[in-house]
Amino acid sequence: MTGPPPAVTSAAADRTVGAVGRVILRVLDVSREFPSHKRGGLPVRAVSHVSIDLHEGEVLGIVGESGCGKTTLVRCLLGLIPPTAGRIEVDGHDLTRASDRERRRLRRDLQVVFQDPVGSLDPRLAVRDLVAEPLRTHEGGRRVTDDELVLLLEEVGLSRAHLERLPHELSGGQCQRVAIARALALRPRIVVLDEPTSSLDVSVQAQILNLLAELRRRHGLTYLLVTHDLAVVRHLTDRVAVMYLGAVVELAPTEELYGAPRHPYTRALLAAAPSIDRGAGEVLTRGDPPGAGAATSGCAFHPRCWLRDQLGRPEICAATTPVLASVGGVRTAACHFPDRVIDQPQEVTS
Amino acid sequence: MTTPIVLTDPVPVAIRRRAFLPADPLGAAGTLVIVGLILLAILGPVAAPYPLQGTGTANVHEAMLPPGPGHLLGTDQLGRDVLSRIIVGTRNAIGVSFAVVGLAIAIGVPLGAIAGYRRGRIDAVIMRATDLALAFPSLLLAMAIVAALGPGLEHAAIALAISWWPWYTRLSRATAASLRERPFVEAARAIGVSDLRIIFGHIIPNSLSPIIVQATIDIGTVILAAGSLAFIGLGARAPEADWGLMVSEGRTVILDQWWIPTFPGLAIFIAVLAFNLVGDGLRDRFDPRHQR
Amino acid sequence: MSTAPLLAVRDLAVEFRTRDRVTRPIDGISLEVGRGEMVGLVGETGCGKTLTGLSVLGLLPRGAVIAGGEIVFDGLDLRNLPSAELRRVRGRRIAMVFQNPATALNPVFTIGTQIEQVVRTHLGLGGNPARDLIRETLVAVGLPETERVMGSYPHQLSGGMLQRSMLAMALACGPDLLIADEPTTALDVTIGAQVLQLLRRLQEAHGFSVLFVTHDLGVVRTVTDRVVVLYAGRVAELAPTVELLSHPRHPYTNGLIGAVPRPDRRGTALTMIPGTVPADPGRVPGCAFAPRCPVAVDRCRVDRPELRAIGDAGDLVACHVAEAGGMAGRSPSAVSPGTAS
Repeated sequence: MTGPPPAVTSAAADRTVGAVGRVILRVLDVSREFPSHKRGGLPVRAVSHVSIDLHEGEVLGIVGESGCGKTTLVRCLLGLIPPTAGRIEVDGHDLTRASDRERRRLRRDLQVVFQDPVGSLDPRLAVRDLVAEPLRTHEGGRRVTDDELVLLLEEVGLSRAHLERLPHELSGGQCQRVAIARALALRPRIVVLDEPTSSLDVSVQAQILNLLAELRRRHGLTYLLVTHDLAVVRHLTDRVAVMYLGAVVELAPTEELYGAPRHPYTRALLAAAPSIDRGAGEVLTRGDPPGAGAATSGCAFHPRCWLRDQLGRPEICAATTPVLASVGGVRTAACHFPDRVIDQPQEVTS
Repeated sequence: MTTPIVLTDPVPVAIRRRAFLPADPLGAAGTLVIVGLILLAILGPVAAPYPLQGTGTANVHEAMLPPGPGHLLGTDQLGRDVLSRIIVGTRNAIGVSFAVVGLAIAIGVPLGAIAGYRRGRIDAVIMRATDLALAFPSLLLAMAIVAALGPGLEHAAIALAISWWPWYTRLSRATAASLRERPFVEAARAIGVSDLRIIFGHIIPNSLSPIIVQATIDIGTVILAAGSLAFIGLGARAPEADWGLMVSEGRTVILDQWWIPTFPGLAIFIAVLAFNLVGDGLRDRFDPRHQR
Repeated sequence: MSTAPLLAVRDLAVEFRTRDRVTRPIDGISLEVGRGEMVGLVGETGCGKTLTGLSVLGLLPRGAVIAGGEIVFDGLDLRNLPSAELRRVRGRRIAMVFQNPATALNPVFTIGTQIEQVVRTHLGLGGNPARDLIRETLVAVGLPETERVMGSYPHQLSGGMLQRSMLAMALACGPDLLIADEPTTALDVTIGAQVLQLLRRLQEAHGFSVLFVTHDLGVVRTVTDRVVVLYAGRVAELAPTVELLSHPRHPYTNGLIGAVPRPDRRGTALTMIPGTVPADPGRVPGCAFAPRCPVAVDRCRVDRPELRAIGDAGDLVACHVAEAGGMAGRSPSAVSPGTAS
């Protein structure tokens, strides 16, 4: 089994700096709370006042660590759980308040590829039934021919021979290709990629990433890539949103974010990621992040913030929650001192 | 009657095709016995050396003969060949037990799957109904049904099925609740598949392994239960060939004509043992450690 | 290394024996770990890296047996050591930390109790001397709230704290060699970076050696001095880290490095290695990588390449093509040496 031939995408032309094209997905002030496990405890805020515009044709990345809320946000986007506040609009249609029938219609445009390639496929169904399922669900009553399934499989680098196979007979990479074929079956406009390569080997990841890039070019897709892997985000996305404890703390075109972050958490995250070029940079964070949704006054990051320490612990960090504000051009960041983020930090020993 | 609940992690049934390899000699032996029993049930009286006696025709001048040539297992008080009676009785035993378990699964599994997947109010309602059904003493229920409908094997079967379905509801609910968190179920929801389709197309098919294990063992238990009901007069009636009834009919003469109750009792024992062994073997085969 | 290596594995072979068949997941692995060195063991799924670590400790899973080769630790022949002596070595002189701290620790005992068990078994300490030692170790791994940690159960601590606890448990008895199996893979990026920094510091302070098993080349670059690249149960290449990443000589290493997304190659396709890893490496004649290798020649399919020294930087490669002069020019996917980390 080989993937599609390596395509060299035209580097500059495809990489739009900033966002162009109309908005096809709007996340408007979405919040999602979960009731607390403790008796009488405050509800846990997994997602807190997130607003994002997704433009047609772009690849938007959402990065963050565990507890940042990106997984919950994805589930809200997919309509698996309703947000406790806010709206999600797909092409102008309100997904959150849609009727069941409307929601199913909207789902055609918004498909997803999940993290666990083998787990996201019903172990008892053959590839044929798995790829046909979205077609049967939304175009109920019509027969799905093998030929059209084979066309889908060939697009993702599989073949007719794979129709009969069961998930446990396929490798992780092949399973993920099946999942991608499933996602493309309805010709959606937006594909949400939830950690699509995190559980794959590096060489398999390369195949899948190349495939995703090629499919995007071919079909004019829009991607929402949710992941913790900073190298993958940098490779594939046009813009990046960084999440921490349920809120977006920075949003910028990718190269600008990596080159000059404007939020101390972004800086810490970028520095911590071990890169093959230089290993891991400075360790800027101390201790562990508080549990998801733990209530803090002021900025959610301030207890661990290296910049705050460096600036002598200004009171405003603990007192006032910073809002996501413009920091130049199309960039936004939620910090009281965004311009000081590129100062030379003193390394923290943990 | 208590049924041990067997909770194993659901596993693709594709693996089941290899479940009967002689890696498990006891299970293999059990399987052979079960196949034999099913054959006998299908063949019915034709397989018996004395078909007419098997179905109940008396043969009084050969009454109470001990095992010997001509009547390998002896004859009973009415001169009927015990071996033939046992063979004919196989049809009742297998038929009733399969019917009861089949009915219990048909009622219990979908209810449990719906409860486990939907949660909330539906779950509460179904599970309270299940608890009620479980709390009812099954023997009392059987007696009530027989009193209402009259004695007979079919009515005993109905009584048993009514007492049995709750176990499958519980089992199916637990499995459904754990499956609903699995990525492939979420993926199906994300595609927009309706709840009903998910329950019947994804949840139930993937719940089969613990249910099959439970069902196999239950068949044995039902044979025993039907036998007990017959023993106390609530099941099959004379002159039907029914293992439990035969044990009951022979209990007064057990000291002198020991073969009359003993061989039917042995038949029950062997059948139940075979199903238990196969069930154990299947449970081991479906063990999570066999999963990739 | 002028002194004898602390750990020397030579031609290790491990077989998996089931009822139906026998496979050979490790088919001739040789490597050395010197004193005070951090050696990375890199490879993808199925290359045998975790099994290698388990073999050293004699902790192979059921059905797996060491079928050949030798494992020598500080002069001791670990393969033929009587089990009582091996138990004394395990935990005391060679310790191991695992990938998922939540499952590697016993959920029904407190951290304090678990570390105390180790300390009592190997050092014969109990009561107050044991608790003092444990407190010291916990502080050393960056857990200053010793009473709280010692009294906590695993589920009450975060992933980072659990991993540090596991390190404390491993290091409490002062081992000479630590085998770390993907210790940061299950952790968040920032927490993982902290753990890596901690590991480096401790290693420099106490001088123990580390065999670091991972699939992540970025982590390898961060903490290791030398790297062993495994493919299908065999060693493909072995070299000092920076040298290997900037001048890979084995085509598999080259492909692996090229598959990692890197900022300077944004927008271009990543290197793909077609095909998949062979299911039973032991049965492949010739070079295990040949079927997928872009530069394989006929000899590669028949004649299994030996691990040989190439160049003068201590680079060992098992590749006919590399021996014969290698891929023309500098490989396109190599990283620049950059600043030493």
